[in-house]
Amino acid sequence: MSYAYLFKYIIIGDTGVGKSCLLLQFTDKRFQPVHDLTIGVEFGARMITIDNKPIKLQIWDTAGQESFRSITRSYYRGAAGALLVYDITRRETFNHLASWLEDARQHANANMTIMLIGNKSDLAHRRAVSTEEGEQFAKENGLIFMEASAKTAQNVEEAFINTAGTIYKKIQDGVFDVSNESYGIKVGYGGIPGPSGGKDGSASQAGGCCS
Amino acid sequence: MKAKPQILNPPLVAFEHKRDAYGFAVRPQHVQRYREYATIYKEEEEERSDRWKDFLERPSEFVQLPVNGSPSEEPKVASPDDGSEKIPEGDDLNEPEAHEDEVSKTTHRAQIWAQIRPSLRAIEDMMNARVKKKISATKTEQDVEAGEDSEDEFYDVERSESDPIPEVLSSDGVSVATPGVASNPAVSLESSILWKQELEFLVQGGVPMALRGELWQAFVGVKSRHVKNYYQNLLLPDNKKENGVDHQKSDGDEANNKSTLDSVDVPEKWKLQIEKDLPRTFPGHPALDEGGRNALRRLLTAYARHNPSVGYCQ
Repeated sequence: MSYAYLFKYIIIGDTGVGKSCLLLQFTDKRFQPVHDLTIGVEFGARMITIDNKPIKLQIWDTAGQESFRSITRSYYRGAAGALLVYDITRRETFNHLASWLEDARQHANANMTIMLIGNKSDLAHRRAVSTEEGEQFAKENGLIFMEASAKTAQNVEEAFINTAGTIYKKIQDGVFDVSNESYGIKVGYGGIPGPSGGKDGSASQAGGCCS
Repeated sequence: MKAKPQILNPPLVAFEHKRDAYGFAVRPQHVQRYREYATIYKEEEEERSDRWKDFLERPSEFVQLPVNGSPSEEPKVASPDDGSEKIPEGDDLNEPEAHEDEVSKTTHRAQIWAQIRPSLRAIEDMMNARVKKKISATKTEQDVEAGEDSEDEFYDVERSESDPIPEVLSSDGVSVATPGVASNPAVSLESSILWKQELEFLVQGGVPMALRGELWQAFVGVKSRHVKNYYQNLLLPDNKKENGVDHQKSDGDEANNKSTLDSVDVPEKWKLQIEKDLPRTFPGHPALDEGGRNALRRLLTAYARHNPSVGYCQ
């Protein structure tokens, strides 16, 4: 399917916070109470529309366990957006955000859009991190923030789409050289060519993984 | 995915197409493809099975060699029960009932230690000889008493096993000098090379499902690696929960306990993660029912204690 732009996303955060479930909810509109462990990295993709333009989101879903950190780091390169996820019912996953952010800052391009997501908002009765704390952290670190629930689908669409909207706006503002794929943006056939035109010859490392 | 033709028994239909022959879930996006190729997979498996069967049943000169050739192997191979006598001390001693449950309940049952069929002895003996050689080499070289369980030794052996088979040939004790071959060295040597080449070829083509458990044991050289009660001892702290904390035995050997964390609480750190992950490790896999998960828990815990520098990794 043709798209104007392809955005590469990465989903990061501690193990068990619901990264894969958010992805599944976004791509398949379903929830799996017991999701398989993610080993290394998984992929998902979905078309969305922004400003009447078809945009393909190619989403790299990573393993959260500490042992996979070194692998995960190599996936930041060439990502236009990141969803940094914690679990509002487990304080430690919130406490680890700083270290995730440090990884992202170090290994991703400086213009990567980061969305902070407090997942499992359906479990408000077991909440261990307040919404305000999440907001505060996001504000301090220049992130977009949302609480979401992969289970009820609350804010899931919004999280992915708002991130895309921000990236799209950055393109419009000329923040990115879209012909340079290291920004995690690819211009498609139906797209608006960037300064030097969309190059289809230089396949990104993610190639045809999920088309 | 769409309307199913056999509405009579939807759960069964769904099950069949959502899991592959090994019981692993087929992703929704691959189900269609999997269905299309199912007959091909089946044919390939049958072909593999036939080839292996042919290979294992064919009388081979070389198959006799390790038996006659290395006297040290003789007593082991001579007694047909030897393999089963040592091996079953593996995973299932703690809760044997759980495993029997599991075996009877599921079609894709997990293979527990099985006796290696006689036709696989040649492979087994070859690998055992290698393991032994490696262990003794490591021991004399480094003069390490804990050498048997050290990581270095483990990986060294792995490495030597990945050598091209014909090259390793002479190091297996199947040299021209061994008594069994002395009578006609040229012929035997040649046939042994051919035998190994064919084995290599078969392995590259894949191992039939029915032989996996046994072949794994044979190729790993389980017999010579097996350390009596090592596994059980690793799990002791769990059985004696109360005073278990003092029982850091093998971790306490300090052989490879160079992690920054201090021994006592180390396994407990993994315990939480293991507990969290057990239900989401291949959820719905037929082998991972209650008993299967308990077995996996023991295995993961034991490994984390055996090799604390890796600990538990998803």
